[in-house]
Amino acid sequence: MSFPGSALRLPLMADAPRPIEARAVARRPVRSLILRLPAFVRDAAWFRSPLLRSAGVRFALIYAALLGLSAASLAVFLWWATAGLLDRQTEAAIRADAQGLSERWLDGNLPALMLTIDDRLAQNVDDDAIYLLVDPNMRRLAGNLSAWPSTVTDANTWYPLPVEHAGMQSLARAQRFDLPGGYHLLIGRDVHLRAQLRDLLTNALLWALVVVVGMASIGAVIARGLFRRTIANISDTASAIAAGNFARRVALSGRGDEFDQLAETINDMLDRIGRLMDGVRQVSNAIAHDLRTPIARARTKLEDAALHASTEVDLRAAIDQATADLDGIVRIFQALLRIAEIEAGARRGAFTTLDLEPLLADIAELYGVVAEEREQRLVLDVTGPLKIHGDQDLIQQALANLLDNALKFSPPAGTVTLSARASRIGVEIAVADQGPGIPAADRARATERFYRGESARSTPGSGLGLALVQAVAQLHGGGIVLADAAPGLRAVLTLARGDDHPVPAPALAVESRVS
Amino acid sequence: MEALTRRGKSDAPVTKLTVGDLELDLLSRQVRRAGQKVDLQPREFRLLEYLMRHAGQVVTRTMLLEGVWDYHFDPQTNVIDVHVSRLRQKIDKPFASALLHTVRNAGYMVRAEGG
Repeated sequence: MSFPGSALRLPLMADAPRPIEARAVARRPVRSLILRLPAFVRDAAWFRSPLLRSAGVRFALIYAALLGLSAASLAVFLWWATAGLLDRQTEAAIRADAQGLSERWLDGNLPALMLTIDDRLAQNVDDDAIYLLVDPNMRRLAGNLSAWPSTVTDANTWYPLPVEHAGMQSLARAQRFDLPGGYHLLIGRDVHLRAQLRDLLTNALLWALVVVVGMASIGAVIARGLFRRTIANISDTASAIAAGNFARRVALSGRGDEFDQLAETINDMLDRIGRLMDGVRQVSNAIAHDLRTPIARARTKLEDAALHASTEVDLRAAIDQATADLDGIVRIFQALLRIAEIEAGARRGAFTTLDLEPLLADIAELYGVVAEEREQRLVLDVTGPLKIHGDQDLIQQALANLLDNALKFSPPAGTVTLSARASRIGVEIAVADQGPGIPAADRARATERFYRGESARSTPGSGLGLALVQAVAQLHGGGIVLADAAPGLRAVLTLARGDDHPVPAPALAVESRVS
Repeated sequence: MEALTRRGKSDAPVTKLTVGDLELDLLSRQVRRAGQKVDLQPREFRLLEYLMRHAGQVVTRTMLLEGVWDYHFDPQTNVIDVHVSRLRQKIDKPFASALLHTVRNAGYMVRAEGG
């Protein structure tokens, strides 16, 4: 019996299965390694190096990890689609072979089967087929394998079979088929192509790893550069401001990206801080300036009385006047403290649900008498219901201040209009007079503390009224806008409805009428 | 303290306040001076009631603003003075003697002459 093609020979089965105990021994140190980092890792300088603390490098590492992960999943898919396909094809071929050979066995028994095997080996162009037919004593009857491999013990199981093919180590996949009469058949295919493919994929993966590392490094450098440049802009500004240059602002790149938004937020914050600091400076200057006058006046009166008063009546009158002057100063301080208290938001806890309709009617009644006394007219124009969440005392005080101003500056026979209506954010209350108004250029400053318009120099007042109105409006999520009423001033006070008071439903409006 | 206790005593059963020849009936909400009926607006009535309940005491503008209008702030102008002067027009002006007096740098007081 001849061996068509090159002879295949089983390599010596020298490597016995590994002893099982070895694995059990190896497990313990592995677990302790997982539980905590070894000291040399934790204490190593590189672990705390500036490179790892850089946000840019961290981003680059995340980027590299994601890139590596997608590369790995691509490789797994490629493996399944190529090597896996080859495996499945091999198995299908072997099954078809077995089907054909078993039919030969049924047709003509042993000699026919042996002949067929020899034919198949002769016709096997790719030289990858492996056949072995043995008798019940495991002696070779036909095929190109030198002996029955001892590992192949069961039928219907795929075995990897190391073979030596023309002096080259190779790998085969084989299956055992049991024939009647104690004969055994082994059919296999040389799968060294698959091994080659695996090497190819491994190589490709290694190269991909190199590329990933390379790209991650470049990405890290670029990201770190970008971060440094953008952060440097902000931190330079912060350092300049810390050094006393309050006019510095973060430069915008003009791209409108996240960093520009951050820069804008920071600039807005700096502007607001600047305005507040200016305000504090102005207020302290104004306190010093505005309070000096009445204090000096009271002092002069007392001094004058001490020197020149001849009767007790004169003396008493002088003391009374000085007391009145000092009372005025105390009132200014009270007003300042009240504004500060409102601005601090301390009164927000006292917010209740208010209907402004009766509140406006009450205050119009209070000031209507004052208007009549001056032969002026106070007109109330309210379209309700006007429900908001707020502090009743503060709103009353703000309205009182506005009406006070309006009546004070209106000419005799003038009309002051107090109107209110619901607006999108809440309630809009307007007080319009027919006085001299405030020049457009001064309107923005009119709500500052101690502002006195030119026309107000001769009238009594502290210049704190509108500042308090503004504080109250801001506490209620609104504001005060001064406009030209042509002639006169129109002060529009807006008060937000408040969080737990959404747009009032019609049902609510009816309820409020009833109550 | 003394003022508070005095007020507390007079508060509960009183239905009529009297100072000199001025009478204020809390039930019928009518005011008479020397037997003559004086017409008052509701707010004027409450202002006079507050002043008469504190007869003989100085009542400050802040007290009036809180007690009569329930306002808790300090108005810049003389709003209260205007209201008091209106009231005075009605209860004092047509009569020989004044009951509603101004206390300099303090406020007002309702007091019968010599009382």
